[in-house]
Amino acid sequence: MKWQVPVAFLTAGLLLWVVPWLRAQLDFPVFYLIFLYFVFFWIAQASSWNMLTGYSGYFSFGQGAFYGVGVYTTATLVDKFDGNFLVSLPLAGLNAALLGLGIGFAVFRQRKLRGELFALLTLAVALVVAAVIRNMDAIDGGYGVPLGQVPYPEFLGDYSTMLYRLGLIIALLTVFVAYAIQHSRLGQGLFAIRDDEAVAEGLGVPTFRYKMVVLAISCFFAGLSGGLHALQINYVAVESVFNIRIPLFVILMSILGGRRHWLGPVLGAVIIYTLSDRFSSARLEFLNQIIIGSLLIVMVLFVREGIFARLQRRAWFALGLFGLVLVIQVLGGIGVRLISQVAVAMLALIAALLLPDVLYRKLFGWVWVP
Amino acid sequence: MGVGTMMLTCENVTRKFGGLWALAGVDLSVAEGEIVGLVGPNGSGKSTLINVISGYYAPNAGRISFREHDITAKAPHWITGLGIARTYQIPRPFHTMTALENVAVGCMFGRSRDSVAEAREHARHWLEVTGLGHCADAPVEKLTLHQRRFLELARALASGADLLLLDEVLAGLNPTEIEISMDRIRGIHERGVSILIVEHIMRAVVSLSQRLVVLDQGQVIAEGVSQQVMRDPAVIGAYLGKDYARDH
Repeated sequence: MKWQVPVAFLTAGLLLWVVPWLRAQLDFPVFYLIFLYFVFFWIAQASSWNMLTGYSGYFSFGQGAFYGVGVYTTATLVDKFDGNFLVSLPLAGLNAALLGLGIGFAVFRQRKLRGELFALLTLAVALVVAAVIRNMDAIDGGYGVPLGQVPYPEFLGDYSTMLYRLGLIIALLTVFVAYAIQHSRLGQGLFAIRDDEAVAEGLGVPTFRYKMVVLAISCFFAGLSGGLHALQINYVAVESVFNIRIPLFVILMSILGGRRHWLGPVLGAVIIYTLSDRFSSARLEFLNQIIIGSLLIVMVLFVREGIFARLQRRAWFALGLFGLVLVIQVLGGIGVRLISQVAVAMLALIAALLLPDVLYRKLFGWVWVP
Repeated sequence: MGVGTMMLTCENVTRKFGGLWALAGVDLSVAEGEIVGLVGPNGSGKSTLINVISGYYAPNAGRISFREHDITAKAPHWITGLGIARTYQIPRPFHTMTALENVAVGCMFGRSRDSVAEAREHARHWLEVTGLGHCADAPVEKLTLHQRRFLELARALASGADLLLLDEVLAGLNPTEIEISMDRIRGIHERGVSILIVEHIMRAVVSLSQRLVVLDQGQVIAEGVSQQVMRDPAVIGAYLGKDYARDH
């Protein structure tokens, strides 16, 4: 890996680290910190899911289980055992990884149907874990876990700032690992497995080992991010932790952004979370579901490679349109908050990227570079 | 290993699927530096033998050894690590990758265990050897059948194979492509790679091979120098029917 890459990630991290301070100085609403925390959360979840499913082709419906195990590891350690919150985070990741490895052992050595078995097993495990947790008084027992005020090191700032900063670190780590895997032998081996596992084996790829490794890493970050999220949720309950939202949204975000590249889930997470949040706040929940559902259908049928691949080809057009729509709103005073204006600009960006190639070429025939 | 010593030895290799004996006690060997042709009518067990040698299937009985190793029923990736690689009748490239990336997988996980960067370099070299240098960055979906066959070959060579198992690599090609392919195969052989070539196109396999092995219904029915073998009545009978053989 070129040294520029870790430096770039570190720089991005440092710049984002001071945003809470900047917000206070410029007197922006705290809402933005919480909003960004959620963006980081979804980036971590979608990226961790994609490094398994997108890279190896083994479809996981179990993100909820790994995330949930992370949430409850932290909740239990902090509430029932008075544990240190920060220490509980890597343990949350570890627990999730162990669960994942268990599933891997059961399925990955099968000859036939391993893809199908894996998908079904991840779905089943999510349901089983939820049921077990709901019935174990030592963990939840159906009562929920109230976390309340959790002590943490002062240098992290106030509550929202602490969540923001830890969320930032976890998201950065997850994305960096996704990048590193993509550019490593592990990544190339996984892509080969995704395309044709039998041939990959024949060429010497250690398929069982590679699948277990990426499964463990993916689950670790799902659990790590979940552990932090326990604090955000604060009153942790089975129904809110183990619902369809997490496993569904990570799939949507990765499909929208693109599953073959580490930036795909990042893009997907930012866009879908922003749109979803803005539609909710404008009390347009139904529009939320219609638009995101339609997006998913369009992506799966017509743009299987995800919008990131198209963004690379139509960068000027798409980003130009995004900028234009945003600037028009800001200068014209249209829209209530900056973030809503950004959401509308995102819709324009998506439209620009979903434009069929045929029409795009007609519009820009004279600048088209095939 | 000197040229002429035994490289691959199959003893009494047997494999059945359900009630069908695909291989019923096959003895076959390939010496270092040889090109051996494996022929036989459809269904005689040629592809099954390739699958068994490369580790995809375990034999029900018999023994296979490669140089000093016993490779009977071992894992495919381990067998590849020893220096055996195979191609597929219908090419199976990694369809989301470019030609270069495909071959790079061979470099990374074969005997040379290259890093990602080294693999990209070495992959270019192997593409040149098989005449695909100009398509290195093309997505494999854009390649013709002929090119995909050679991509398979390049990928197999990249994994450091000393023994190549070619499974009907000339099927479906036009005469010009067949000539080009035969030249390239000879070129690869001259670089020191031993070859077991399964083929239907008689003139090609007779021309390429030093020795022919004829399989019929899972058993070896003839073996020897190409011209002699093709005149063996048992061989004619297998291909054209016992009546034809008897009358001629």
